[in-house]
Amino acid sequence: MGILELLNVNDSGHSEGRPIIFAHGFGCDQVMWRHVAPSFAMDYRVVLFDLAGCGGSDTSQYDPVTYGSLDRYATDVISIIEELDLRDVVFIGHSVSAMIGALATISTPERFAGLVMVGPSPRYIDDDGYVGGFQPSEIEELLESLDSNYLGWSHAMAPVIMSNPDRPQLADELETSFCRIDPVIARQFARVTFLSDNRADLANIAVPTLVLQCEDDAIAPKPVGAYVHQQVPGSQFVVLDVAGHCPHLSAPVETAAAIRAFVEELEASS
Amino acid sequence: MTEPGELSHVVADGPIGVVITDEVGVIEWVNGTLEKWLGYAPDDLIGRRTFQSLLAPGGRIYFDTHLRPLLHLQREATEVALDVVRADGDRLSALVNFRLRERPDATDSIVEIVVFDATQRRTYEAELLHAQRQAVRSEARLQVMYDIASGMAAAVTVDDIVMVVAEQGNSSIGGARCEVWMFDEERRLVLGLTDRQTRLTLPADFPDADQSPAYRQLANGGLVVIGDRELSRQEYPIVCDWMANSATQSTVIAPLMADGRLEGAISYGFEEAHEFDQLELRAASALAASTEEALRRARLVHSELRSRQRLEMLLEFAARLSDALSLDAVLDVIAASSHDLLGASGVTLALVDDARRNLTVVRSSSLYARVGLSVPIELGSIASTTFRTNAVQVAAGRKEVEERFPDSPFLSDPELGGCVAVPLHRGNEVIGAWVLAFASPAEVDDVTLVELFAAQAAQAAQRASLHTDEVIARGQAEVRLLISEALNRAVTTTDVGRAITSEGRRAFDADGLAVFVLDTRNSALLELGSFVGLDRASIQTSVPVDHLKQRWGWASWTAPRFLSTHAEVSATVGWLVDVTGWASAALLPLGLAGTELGAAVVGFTDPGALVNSVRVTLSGLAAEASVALARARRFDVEHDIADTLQRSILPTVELTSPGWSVSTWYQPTSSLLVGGDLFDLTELDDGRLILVVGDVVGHGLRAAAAMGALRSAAKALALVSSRPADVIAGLQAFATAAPGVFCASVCCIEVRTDGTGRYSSAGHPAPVLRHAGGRTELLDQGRSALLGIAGSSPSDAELNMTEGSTLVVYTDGLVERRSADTDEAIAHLRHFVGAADFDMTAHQVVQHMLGDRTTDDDAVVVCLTRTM
Repeated sequence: MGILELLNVNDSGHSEGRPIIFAHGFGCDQVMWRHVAPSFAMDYRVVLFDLAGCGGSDTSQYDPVTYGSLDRYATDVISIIEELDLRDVVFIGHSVSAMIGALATISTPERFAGLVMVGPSPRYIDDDGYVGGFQPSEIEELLESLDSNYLGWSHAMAPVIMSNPDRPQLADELETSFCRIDPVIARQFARVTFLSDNRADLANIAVPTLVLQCEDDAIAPKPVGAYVHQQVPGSQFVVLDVAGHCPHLSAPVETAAAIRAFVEELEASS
Repeated sequence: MTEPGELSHVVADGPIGVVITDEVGVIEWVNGTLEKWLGYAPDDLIGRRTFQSLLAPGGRIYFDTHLRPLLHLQREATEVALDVVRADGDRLSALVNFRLRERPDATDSIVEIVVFDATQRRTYEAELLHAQRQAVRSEARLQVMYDIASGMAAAVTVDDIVMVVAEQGNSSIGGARCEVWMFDEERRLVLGLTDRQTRLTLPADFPDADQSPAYRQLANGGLVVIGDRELSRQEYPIVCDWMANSATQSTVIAPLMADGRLEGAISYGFEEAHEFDQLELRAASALAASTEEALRRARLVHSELRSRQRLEMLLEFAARLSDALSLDAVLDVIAASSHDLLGASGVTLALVDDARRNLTVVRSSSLYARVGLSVPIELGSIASTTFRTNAVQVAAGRKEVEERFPDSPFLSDPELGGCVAVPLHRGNEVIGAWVLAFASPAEVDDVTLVELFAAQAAQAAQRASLHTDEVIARGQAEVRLLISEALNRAVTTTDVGRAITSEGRRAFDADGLAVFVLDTRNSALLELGSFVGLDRASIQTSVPVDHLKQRWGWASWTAPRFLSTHAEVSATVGWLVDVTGWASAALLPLGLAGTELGAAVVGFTDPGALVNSVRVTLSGLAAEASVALARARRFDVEHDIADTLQRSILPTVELTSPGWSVSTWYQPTSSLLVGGDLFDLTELDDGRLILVVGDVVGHGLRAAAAMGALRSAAKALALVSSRPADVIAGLQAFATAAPGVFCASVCCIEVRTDGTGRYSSAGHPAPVLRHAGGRTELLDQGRSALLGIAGSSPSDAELNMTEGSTLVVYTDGLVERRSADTDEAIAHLRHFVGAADFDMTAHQVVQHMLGDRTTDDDAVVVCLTRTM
């Protein structure tokens, strides 16, 4: 099975246009971009995919050891780019994918024209002078709650709890719901996401970068976004007047506009 | 018909919490029930707090990363398990439904949130989750057990085993660090041989049983469990000190016992405090048990190999010496054997002169002590000292040679690593010194073997000294050749006895000859072997070794005695055999390196029969017969070793459960080979008994090792499986990991305290159940293929043991014989079992079925009786 099937890659939009890759964050899948990506399809080549272990990716191929760090996810991004033979890519990464994209541009800068980091955080846990927004105990509790959350593990545990395999419709229902993830993978992915520390990588980002920050974001608070902007050489910093961590869902129009402005600026300068 | 007013009452104060927030999450309305549950006043919440800010931290992240996107995408999310934090900091376990709905004016959306108290349900789910985690862990542990068991099957040395355990054990108990400790020579507990660089020793006082409660506990076979170092410092100060040094916060230590004595321990350490659960403690014990077993096996194999190796060398040396008919020839053999048998880098032989003043080198491979070199016996050289003191001298290292033997010429040798010197004897007389040089001090370790060699050499020198006339010696050579050939053909001790009597009588024209050999089971007793020219009734059939020593004046069992008058013969031998008509006799000791193996009496009517040449030849006969006897004895004893090895691996079964009795019997093969039959009985805490009987294909050490591995795996499975078919399925899986158990047959039986039970069999002969009235039933259901063979998956069949019933489980060695039909044998077994007494034992079953017949296959029988 090729990387395109493995990661449920959807290649659409204007085939001659500049390629834009949209990458989802922790907790969901490519559906997250459904209000934003279509608006780019007219004049850009739009590539969507699911991170390994998430959404429609082939979870049977997911190996917790291989995916024990963000580097492997970045390698997947490069594989997609090579498989589709994309050049001058603009990579739009939300949340953890902002860092995945950053690592990809650092490893293979020649393929990228720009990077958009939506709600990025290079490190979630507070650390001697650095404000990440979380205490280690809070992250531990998240990992624990992922184990016990009904919704989170319903997919895997439903038949056990119900002891009723005669009701497959229930399982079907859960299968088709959005943003589903195997609880074991969710836990491992959460570990990688929330325990990684990529602060040192920021200075190595060598492509034009836009940091898109929500005004009131509990996951990646504004000081964290400002920190990223300050660390990434020559980056732009745009704050959307939106609450929450997912501006592409709660304020899709504004989000799309900010991205488009950045991309068009790249066009103009190239 | 319910009034709308009542409905609004339900929303306001019913048994559900209701919250309405704006799109961002800011609370716009909250019902009375939730206020009450959470202990907030409405003013604290409305317009001031977001709903997500009421959640525990994990839930907050989950809300923003997963729930909110979900709400946007599908407009609702249901039955989400969340912890809501109360005003007092306590938590409310809740199931929460969310719905996103546009405001009537369509300006924006609101979120309707319904909260159910789910404390009980969450408890239930937590239990399920716990059970699931345990199942996963126990499966992982089991896999490790397999790995360890199959690793151990290939492990031959103690080091191998320690390595296998340390490598595999780390994963058996959730991320623990597993270490093996063994006592060293000084009874200090040394951190396993796994990492020689960091050989840590526990503080020297640890082994003082009175001082250390941990030691006492381990020595009594108990576990030492420390959940948190800080809390156990009072109780186990020494262990806690060690834990602090190795950054371990919690640990469980299991004892490794050998013959009821503590020989080491296995420790599993965690970096954090850890509450050990029952399964983990069981896993620790099970791992320790299989380690013990493997260690026992390794020791047996090791000591057997070593003693066999020594014996081989000694036999070779003795054989070479038996050809040496002069002192010169003896010296040649000693010099050559020093190199190729004892592995010495250099050898020097020196003999004392007639005046007993100087030692003169007569053979030497050293440049520094050349042949012809003569030194006074008072000199402080190693040879002179050995000669003077008539005692072995050992110098392990150049430095020691310098200090103790400053005059040694070998000190000029820059390569010298160490020396061993033994006195050279002719009979009991010291005639010189034999110095062996070794390249490294480590090689100077088997002094006993050198001493055994020296004893052989002394006998040979003694024999050689009798060769006053070389011509006679050549004349007798032909006779010796005949005897040699006969002895070489001899395999068993009986063969050797026969070779001596028949050939000896012919060669020497003896009138009577009797051979006594050491009893295989009682080494203090000599038994009549074979005889010729004598009447059986006139010979003592057994005689204590000590008695013979005393009567024949044999202090060292090395020198033949020759009696030349009837009176002397009568007084010395008359009590043992009928000496009527004998005018002379020879008493020949048969032994190796001072160990008694037998004795021979040769009688002649001719008073002049024992001329010098005959004496020489008889001495040679004794030497060669001794070698042959030692070889034959090894053959006899080896069977016992195989048997011991097998028995050591099979458990001693003692049931503590009231209402049951068990008897077992293991019948080894008649040949030398170890078989692969096994059994194991496990008593579980709830009173269930799990019996496993199996048969590994093949013979020999490999089969015995596979058998040990299979038994370890079966034991581990019995501890964690809920039914026999699971044990069989587990062993099927094990067979893929451990090739040695391929095609083994296994039967697993589980009985509960009330006598009901289940069984499952993988290609194993059907057990026989004898009911109280004598009716027998063949348990031939629940069958699946031999281990490692694809086929139907294992299934269980039921059985019921009423009071007074007996279950007989056996391996095919009991019913399969080359010449007979197996079905017939099973029918025969059923008949016997049906008619047998209530307290029939496994041994009785074996005796009845096999009698004294020799068997090619070993057999195991287990009889389990429900007594009440």
